[in-house]
Amino acid sequence: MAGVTEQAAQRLAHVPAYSPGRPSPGPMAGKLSSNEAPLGPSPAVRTALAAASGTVNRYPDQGRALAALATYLDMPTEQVILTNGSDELCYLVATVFLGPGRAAVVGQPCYQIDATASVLSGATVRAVPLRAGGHDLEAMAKACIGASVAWLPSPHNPTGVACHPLELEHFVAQVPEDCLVVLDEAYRAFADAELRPDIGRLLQRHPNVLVQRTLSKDWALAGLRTGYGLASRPLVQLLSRARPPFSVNSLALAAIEAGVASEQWRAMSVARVRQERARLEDALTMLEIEHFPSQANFVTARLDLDGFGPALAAGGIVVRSGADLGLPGWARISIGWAPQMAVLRSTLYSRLGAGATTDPGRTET
Amino acid sequence: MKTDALLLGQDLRLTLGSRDLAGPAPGQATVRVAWAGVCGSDLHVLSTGAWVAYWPATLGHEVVGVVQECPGGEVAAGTTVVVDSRLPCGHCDGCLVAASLCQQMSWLGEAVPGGFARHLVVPVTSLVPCPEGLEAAIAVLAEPLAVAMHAVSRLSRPPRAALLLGYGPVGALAHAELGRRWPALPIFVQEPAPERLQLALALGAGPEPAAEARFDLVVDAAGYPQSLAHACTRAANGGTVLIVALSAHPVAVVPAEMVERTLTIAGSVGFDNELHEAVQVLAADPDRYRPLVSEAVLLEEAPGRLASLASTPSAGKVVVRPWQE
Repeated sequence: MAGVTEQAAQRLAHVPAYSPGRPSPGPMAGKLSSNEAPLGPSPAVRTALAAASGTVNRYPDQGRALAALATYLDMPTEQVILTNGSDELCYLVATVFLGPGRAAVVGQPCYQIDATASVLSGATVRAVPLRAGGHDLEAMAKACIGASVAWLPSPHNPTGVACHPLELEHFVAQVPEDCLVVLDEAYRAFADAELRPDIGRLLQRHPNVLVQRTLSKDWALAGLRTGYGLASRPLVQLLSRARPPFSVNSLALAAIEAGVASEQWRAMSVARVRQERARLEDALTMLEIEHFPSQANFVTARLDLDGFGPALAAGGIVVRSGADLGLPGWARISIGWAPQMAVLRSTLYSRLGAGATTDPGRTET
Repeated sequence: MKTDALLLGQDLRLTLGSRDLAGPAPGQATVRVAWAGVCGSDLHVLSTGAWVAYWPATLGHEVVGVVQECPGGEVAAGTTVVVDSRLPCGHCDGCLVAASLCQQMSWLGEAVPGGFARHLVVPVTSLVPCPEGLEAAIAVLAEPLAVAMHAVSRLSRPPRAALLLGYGPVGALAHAELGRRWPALPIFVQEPAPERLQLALALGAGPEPAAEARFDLVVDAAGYPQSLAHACTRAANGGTVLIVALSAHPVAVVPAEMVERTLTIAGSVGFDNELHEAVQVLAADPDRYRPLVSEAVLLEEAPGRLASLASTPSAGKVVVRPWQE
């Protein structure tokens, strides 16, 4: 019989290792590689975290945080499940719905954890190529026949392209009822209002839908690993049964409680990201650099990082190589704080010798 | 040497160009600009040409950069520095008391070429080294923060509740400084621009209070025609009205009201020793100040944005950077 290492290697032969976004070569604000929130959590959340540090000797009690979040979302508590980052929900779904002999449907390229959790469970993965950075929902619906799970991030990672709610509704209606549709809304907050589906209605009409969200992006809690799912009461109950006890820690719970009252902070932070995203997309368009129209807190552009990477690093900036994300030859640029985005534009202009956005006519003194 | 710079002509046309910089002479240093903040006074100059002593002018007095050349060796090349914006005459009666009281005070950018440029030349005595690790894009707030700190230091006692009229960068920095000194102080804000009000609320300010509410501190950071009169109205008996906005509008006040309500009206301009302290304060808690920088433009993008800034203000401070060479 093979040794333990060989057994593990055999079992994980098709599971790719996860490569996190690289740290910034300069100040942390230059890290534009992991889609993090540049302004961090609200002052109220920071205060709550400091206060909660005195209770970490106790096991966490999620009751108050869950109730506060459900109230904030205008959802019944029984339809919300808290998770250790939204990724825990991926593994929960894979554990409960997938396994040997089952199939999962993903876009190609996909959010890597969706594929990893599926493969780890022993399921096969049906990859449906994206079209212009968005999901090919017709093809995905066909692929869902006989599948157990469809992973559907919208806005999608790594492209930032969002499904239109009407197309989404049509897609879900086409998917067989025995296939779970996991609608990953990690980047929902950054999308145009008309591209945010009515989740209450979707869940009411389609009990095979599970909405997955993270508090790592607009809530700025990436380091606390917190997310949640929204689904029918029975589904939440069953997923909760499979979830490890106390998987959401007490600091994360304190941050949720304080965070629900930090709506102004989130609105301000999201508005800044959308403003900088538009400015970056304008620059890319002007420079004729191909990019996907993003509804997320990043923009993915066709950029050769062999050339741009060192120039960006000289400005203290690192972005994510598309090669890590199934898009070789592309780069995923997280939207950061305004000064870092200006440095990034400056690098683009300099590398491409394009000057800048205006031609005011130079004057000599 | 020649350097890229924004040039404001006497016809108030703002263009990107290059200008000759003399020096640096002994006692001076050439600073390569990292960031320069846009002040409300810059916008006033851009639209009026006021206070300018030379043409074409290169504005920008909130400057952080890296020392490129210092013939006297007083500051090592490569040192990140904040530039003192003040150019006091040094010999008037006011200067004998404090630089901020100079009777002929002039300012970087208005009297000599400033920071909306790739380089500037300044006296070494104007350089304040930044602590290791302080991001330049945070340090650019040191000058306006020093102004806010100086203003708050005018208070004779800790306030119990404060109202800020106006939440432009000066108001926002006054908020930050009041909150830093007195974390439990309730601070309310009156600000018509939605983005600015949102920033105030996000940073913990209370929403606009009831009209009858009175405050023992009212900060006039708005400077609209009747803002001082409104500030006096909102002040509680015994309270202080602190004016930090530069308004040229005459305002009628009733002296008897000042007397009978024991009001103090305090003006404040510039700073004295606070610039060094401001740099340390920023380094100690940079994330507190990060949201206050709301927009960053490259030097070449700046003429367009500065032209529209008065009509479409940013939520917070706009900072300008020379593009990468």
